[in-house]
Amino acid sequence: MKKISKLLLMVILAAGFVGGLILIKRNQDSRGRASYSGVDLMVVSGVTKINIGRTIPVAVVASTGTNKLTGFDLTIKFDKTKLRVALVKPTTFELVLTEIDQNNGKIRVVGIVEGNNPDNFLTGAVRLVRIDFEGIAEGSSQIIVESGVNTNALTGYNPNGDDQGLGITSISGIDCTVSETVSPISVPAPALNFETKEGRDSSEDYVKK
Amino acid sequence: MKVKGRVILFLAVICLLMGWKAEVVRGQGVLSSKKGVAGPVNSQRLETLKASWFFNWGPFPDPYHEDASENWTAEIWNSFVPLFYGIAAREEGGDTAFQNRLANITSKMQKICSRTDYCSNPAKGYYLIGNEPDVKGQDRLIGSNAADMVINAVKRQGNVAKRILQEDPDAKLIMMGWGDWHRKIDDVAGTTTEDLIKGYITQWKTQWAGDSLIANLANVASGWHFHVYDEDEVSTNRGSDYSVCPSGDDIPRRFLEIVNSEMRKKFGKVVMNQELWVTEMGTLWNVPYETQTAEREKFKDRMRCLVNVFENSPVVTRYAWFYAGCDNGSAVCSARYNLYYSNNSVYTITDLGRLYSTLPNMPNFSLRYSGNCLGSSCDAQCGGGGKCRKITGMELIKVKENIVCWDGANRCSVIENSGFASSPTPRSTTTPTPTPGANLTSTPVPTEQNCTPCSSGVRLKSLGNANCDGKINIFDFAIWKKERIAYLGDPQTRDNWKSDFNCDGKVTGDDLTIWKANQQ
Repeated sequence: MKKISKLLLMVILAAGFVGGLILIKRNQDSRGRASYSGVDLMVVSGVTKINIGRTIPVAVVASTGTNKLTGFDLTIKFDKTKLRVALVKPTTFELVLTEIDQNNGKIRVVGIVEGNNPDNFLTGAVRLVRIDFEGIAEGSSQIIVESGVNTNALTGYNPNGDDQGLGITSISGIDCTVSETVSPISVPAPALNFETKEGRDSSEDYVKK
Repeated sequence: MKVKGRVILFLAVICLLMGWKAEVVRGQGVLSSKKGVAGPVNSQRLETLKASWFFNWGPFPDPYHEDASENWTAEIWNSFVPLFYGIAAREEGGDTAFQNRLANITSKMQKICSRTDYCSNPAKGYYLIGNEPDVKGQDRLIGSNAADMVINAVKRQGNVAKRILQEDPDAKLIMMGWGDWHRKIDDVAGTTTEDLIKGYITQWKTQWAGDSLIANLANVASGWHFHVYDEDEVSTNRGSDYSVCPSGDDIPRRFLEIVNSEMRKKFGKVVMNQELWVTEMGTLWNVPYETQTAEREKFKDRMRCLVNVFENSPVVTRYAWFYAGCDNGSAVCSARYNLYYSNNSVYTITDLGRLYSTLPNMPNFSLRYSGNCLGSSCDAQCGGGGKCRKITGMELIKVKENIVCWDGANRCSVIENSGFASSPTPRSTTTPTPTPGANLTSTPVPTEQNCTPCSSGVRLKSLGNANCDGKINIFDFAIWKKERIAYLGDPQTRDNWKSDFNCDGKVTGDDLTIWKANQQ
């Protein structure tokens, strides 16, 4: 009776194992249809500690393997209370959109490859964009590409298929520590300093929505 | 040869001295002199939005700081239009408050006329009068029935008009300012905008018959303004689809029909060269801009549609999106219609603002250069040969030439009309049927011809939606890149390119320009 039970248990385990494999395969297949290959996304930097008022230059890097990268639409998030975006600099890609949302600690960049010779399209570890963050308050902030199904997109040159999308297989970021400044650097005044407000002014001439 | 070289050298030096720089600007149609914004902007934000003019419901560019330096630059007055509110009719009896308010208008007018070249300037001198006399809490101060409301509006606006004309006899008055063509009038049942327009003209005849200055409305007004928000079907069924756009320019056409018919009846003539301004347009829906939902996309469609409709309307002379500013730090900043939101006086453009800066869609036209310009040197800077013509910031720009030079706000810009230059013959003359809810495209926007269109209901491919998924994003670019490479390898004119957005049978940089202008 014991032998039969053991045998039955083994059969069930084996069936479960095979079933699991089938499900994994199916899952991989479905992801494979959504994009023809995968890419690892990283935020990297030579430094991880800065003083308030100083900047930390980071690069967003895509490890594309043999895929030829043609474009990206990425959102990078950071702690808005510790850092602010000081500079966004293109690399070999033309930036067609840079959207800094300091209020929510996000920056969106859309870049496209220049040139029309596929032999020159970059593969391997490709630097997509450089972003300098300025430390504004003490503490630690992660800088990482935001994850989410519809948040990011990468495209590659796929001459033989309709699918130009590259799947993102992993995301990694850095932790930046901001310390109290040793030699303070004045923060430049906002470029747009034109005070306005909605509402009713004391004069009826200015009634607005 | 030597002379030619010297000329080139001279022009190069001039360009350097003037800060001339090559600049390819995202978006097309940015030089529309019709396009404006309703809200408190400064020159910088106005330029970012690629708008030609603005108003802020007040008489000065910065209504909160009358003596602020920016109030008095020629640049800002090239773009700004003052607005004067009406005066409460209950004060018609001549009480002190009423007299003070009229004196207030006079003193503000004197300030405008003494410190700028705005008054008596044929190219400028516009004044908006009234702001939603039919809407409670706006210019409608009293009056619980339609008749009272109209009488009060006529009295107020007449008084304001008189004070302006006394200081600036050549003033061009844009009057009325009805809140919304379709919206129900708060608590005045059964009243339509048509009733109000007719009542306004009738009452003007009655109320001001004995006034030597403003008796004849046809001589007083230079045009009319009103607001366009949600349409009837949207207002009564909110939550369904607020991307619905007015059918062509039916609304402004109907507006003018009513006005002109009534003007002929009461005054025997219509306003000569009358103008029609849509001084506010948009939606009253609250769609937070952080929420990139399908609803938000419909909202953007509405913006595209309204801009393109009014830009191409032969009867609308100006239009302005509401709203270009926001409460400092208020939650409303990140919501609905704002082109900008602010935080500690730092202004950030929203997704709507970014979109607005690229509208209207005129894919064949692109702004190639932008730089400082000093009057007569404009032509030389734009390449010479008389191709560059100076246009004031207020003049309607009709791009019919290869290159024009825009001298608004002392800036010189060159529009390169690539479509005009190459003039590809359309391979099909079939008139396209606009897709409901999609962008209304009219001349000179390329329309679907022999290209493979997206299925019905999907945003038109002519904007850059190569894969017909309803979005214009990096995946469409990737298709363009793939097809561009294929086209370069075998340059055949075909009608089934997915990324041939301008339907010329080729996959070129012009298609990329269209994608760039519309990608979100």
